[in-house]
Amino acid sequence: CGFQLRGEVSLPSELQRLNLSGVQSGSPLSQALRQSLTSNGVELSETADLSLAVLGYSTDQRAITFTGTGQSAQFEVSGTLRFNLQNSNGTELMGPFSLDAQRTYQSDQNNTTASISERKMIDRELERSLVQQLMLRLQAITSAQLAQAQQAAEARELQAQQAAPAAQ
Amino acid sequence: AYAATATPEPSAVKWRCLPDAQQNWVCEQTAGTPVTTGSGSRTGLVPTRPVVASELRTTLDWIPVQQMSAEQRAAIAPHCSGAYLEPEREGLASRGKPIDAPIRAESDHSSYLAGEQATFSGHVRVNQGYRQVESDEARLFEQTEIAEFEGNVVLREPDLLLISDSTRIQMQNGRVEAQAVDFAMHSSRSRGGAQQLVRREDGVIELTDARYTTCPPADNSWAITGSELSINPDSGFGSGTHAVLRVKDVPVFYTPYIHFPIDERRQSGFLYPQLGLSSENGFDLITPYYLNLAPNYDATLTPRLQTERGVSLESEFRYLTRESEGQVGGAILPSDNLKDKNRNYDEDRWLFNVQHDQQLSSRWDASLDFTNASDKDYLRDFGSSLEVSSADNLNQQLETRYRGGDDDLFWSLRANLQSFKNMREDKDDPYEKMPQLELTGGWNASEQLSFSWLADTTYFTRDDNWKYIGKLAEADKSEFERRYDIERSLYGEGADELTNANGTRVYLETGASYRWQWPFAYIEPGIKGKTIHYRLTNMNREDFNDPVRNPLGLEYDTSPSTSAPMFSLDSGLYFDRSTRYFGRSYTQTLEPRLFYLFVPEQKGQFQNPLFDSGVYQFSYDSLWREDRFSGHDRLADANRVSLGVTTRLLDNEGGETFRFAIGQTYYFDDRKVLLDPYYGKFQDEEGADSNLSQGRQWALDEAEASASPIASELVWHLSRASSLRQEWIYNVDQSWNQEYGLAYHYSTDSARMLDIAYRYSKRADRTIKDDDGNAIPGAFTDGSISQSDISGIWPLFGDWSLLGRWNHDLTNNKNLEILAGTEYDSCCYKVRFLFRQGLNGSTDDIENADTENAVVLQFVLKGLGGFGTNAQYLSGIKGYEEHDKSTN
Repeated sequence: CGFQLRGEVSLPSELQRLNLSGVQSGSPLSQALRQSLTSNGVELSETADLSLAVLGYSTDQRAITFTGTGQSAQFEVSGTLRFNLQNSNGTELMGPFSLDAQRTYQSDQNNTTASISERKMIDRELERSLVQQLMLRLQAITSAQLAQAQQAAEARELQAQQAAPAAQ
Repeated sequence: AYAATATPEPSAVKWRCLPDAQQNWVCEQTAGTPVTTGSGSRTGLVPTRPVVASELRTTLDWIPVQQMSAEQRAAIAPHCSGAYLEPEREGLASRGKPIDAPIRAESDHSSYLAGEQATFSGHVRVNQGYRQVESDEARLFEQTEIAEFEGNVVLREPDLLLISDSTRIQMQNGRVEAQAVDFAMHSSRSRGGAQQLVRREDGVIELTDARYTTCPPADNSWAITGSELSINPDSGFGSGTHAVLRVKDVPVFYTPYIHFPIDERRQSGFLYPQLGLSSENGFDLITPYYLNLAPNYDATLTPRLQTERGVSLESEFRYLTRESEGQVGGAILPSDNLKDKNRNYDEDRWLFNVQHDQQLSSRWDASLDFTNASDKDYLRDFGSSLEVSSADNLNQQLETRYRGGDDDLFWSLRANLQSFKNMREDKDDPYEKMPQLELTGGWNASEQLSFSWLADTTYFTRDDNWKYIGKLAEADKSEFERRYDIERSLYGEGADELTNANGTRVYLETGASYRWQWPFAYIEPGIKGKTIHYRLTNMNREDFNDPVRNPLGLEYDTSPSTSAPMFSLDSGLYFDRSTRYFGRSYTQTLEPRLFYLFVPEQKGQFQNPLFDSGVYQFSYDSLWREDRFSGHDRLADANRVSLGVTTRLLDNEGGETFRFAIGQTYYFDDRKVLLDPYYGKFQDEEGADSNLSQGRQWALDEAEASASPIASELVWHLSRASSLRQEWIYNVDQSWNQEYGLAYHYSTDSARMLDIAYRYSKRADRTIKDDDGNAIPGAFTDGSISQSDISGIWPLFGDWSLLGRWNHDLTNNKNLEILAGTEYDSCCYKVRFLFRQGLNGSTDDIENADTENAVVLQFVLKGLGGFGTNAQYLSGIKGYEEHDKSTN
């Protein structure tokens, strides 16, 4: 029905060398990102021209179902990941992109420590889901779009430079 | 001698004054062409007075929206009919201090005495740098550098318009003294007036007999009046003594001291009163009082009067530094007066909360989260605006983590102390981690090969009196007071001794995986070894010899251990195609995935206590998990394969417009390892809250099923504004829906939001209880969760919005919460009126659950802010906080 095995390299060459910023090194999110990026052929380097900057990652929990007496029975965990692509000056090229994902889990009031263990697992799965969505975003970017964004960013930088002395 | 050098004739005179070497002014008439006029016709003479000052006192640069450009219109505050806009004028864009700029003056008449003073009269306009003053008369004293203006004085500086009867300015330092003043501050969107105004050398404006508001001119919805008000544009805050809040000129609130923000540098403020009437607490008045102590710390004091209970005080202190942030808060109600149905009558009721996050270095952080309360009913009775992370078990945790290594070889060490205050009277006390040490790490040896390890050593402990059962059955309903203290029963009396175990658990795990990856596929085999060791205490050897107390025949073993290897194989394929749906082009993917898992059965795990383990709620993610148990107390045997497929529609930007995933696990062996030893041995508990034998039968059936439930999830972004999510778990073995969730979300912006959700979760039957709350033996009814939840905010007409929530329990045909309200939002204030009916949670059986009614009236004075949302009832409306923030 028209489906074909995915073809060769999905990331444009400019994105194959990236600096990853905004995540704490060694954190689960950072590991998930690194693993996903490198397995998609991205070389991570602090001297790369382009930066993949995580602008924010947060999770939020709220009760979604209740027992008949009004106590929380199930929780929904929402994760939001915001990121953009920056040039080496820190000027935004593309984005900011905002991704979100949700998971639900059961609160076991008689076994709080188990619920904490479950929440920990949920957090890892949320991160993986968000990283997957992030990769899909990156894969949709074309070289032409990047070149255009880079020109626009340079123009903005120039404008800012000209405006700066005038303000002084 | 005085020598008038200016023209005595009535004509426009222009002067230019420059400081000389001694910083004294030297003025001279400029070469500019003086406009000569005939007598009586002055209108074309001085193009400097667009409006007369008396008129400006009422309009104050306020421009109605009809007269604005499109650009200006886009920038006005929500619900405003206009804005304070500074007119174009000479010097508006001028930078630097006015004193460094020349003075230029013009008037109808002038006289000048060199070295002494210059006098101007008739349409005087004096410009110096960004400052401009217009008046009827003016005197400039050269040596003292003082300028005096009389009559219809209009002073303009960036962001300031000041109209007065007379004004005296020290040109050197900018000090201004003015009488009978009206003023507007454009970017603060505020205006005010005073009998006397002093703008000090440091820029602080001091007002006497003053009035301040963010309402448009001629709108007296609210204002703060005070004998002394002071406004500091530098810090962005105002303060005052003996201040009175007036609504429509009627005084409604007095405070000896007030501190309030004047601009938007912080979303924080002073007053947020809430008036309520509740069936339980009576008349309820909450008046938070905000103290901005410094840019990086603040405090809130919230006195609260509940006529049935008494006066309480809640306070919160927040701080932020470069390396840390946190808050300390507490609330106290001395001697609760409420007698009816209150087991804490005459007791002090309190809550204490501290949160602190510290970055010790770039790799090392620490956090403290500690909450405690006077009693189990506290949150139910009072709620809290403090950030309490869970209402059921108050968290008491100190945690620190160090992250070491680099991106290829990384490790992290976490030390954790965690205990809880159980706020439920019908639920067990949790284990406490005292302490937990966790070392995790990994090594990405190459792009394909990676290793991981985890070492967790925890000392788990809890009080012997941790179990709460049969309490209600024994409770005497006529004696409501302190039921939970008296009826607390001891577990371990004739039951499983292991659950009283405390002790140290060491869990070690290490694994390796190798990943082959192509654009179209991946295969990742992995191996892992896991081992658990205990050193248990608090167990009585004799109990194990008693067949009544030890029906399962467990051994007395203080150091059980379990080890198991694990083999997994994860693999997936990616197909895609270009396609069009609804006239738009998409990339559609098809991603089949296969996951095989093998873990040999390890016998004797019932000897292991349950410190932090439970059964995961089954979901689509469960298909790909290595374990069906959370925590580290059980090593689940597995010989299974999971098959799943995901399809996505990706738009041109890679956004996921649609995702559907479905899958199932097929078991080659029954699952032998169970969580609870009693699963294998039925034992009815009279009076238990749920049908335990049914629940256990289900767990056993599940362990013997040849296939898991079918799990599916669907996410559909129907448009930019709306999305639909569905989760459906269908139990093939039992032919029933196990979990179902459908959620629709719509929001065009923060003013218009709608959420509709339905959720179902299959649960074992629950006991029916009689009027006294005692379980009727053998009487059961459906215990499944089936609930609908509708909430939203919707604009009605004009500045009115409707907000509400309806949360309904279909199983028990009971409303969990009904909230209905309206909100009126104007340029300078917001009023909310709410009605709420909700379960108050004071009993733990459904038949007799009490509902509580409340009506609430809230005011928000815009520009005086509001620190977050004090609207506890509104938190159930998803997205409410955004809505609140965006319209302040």
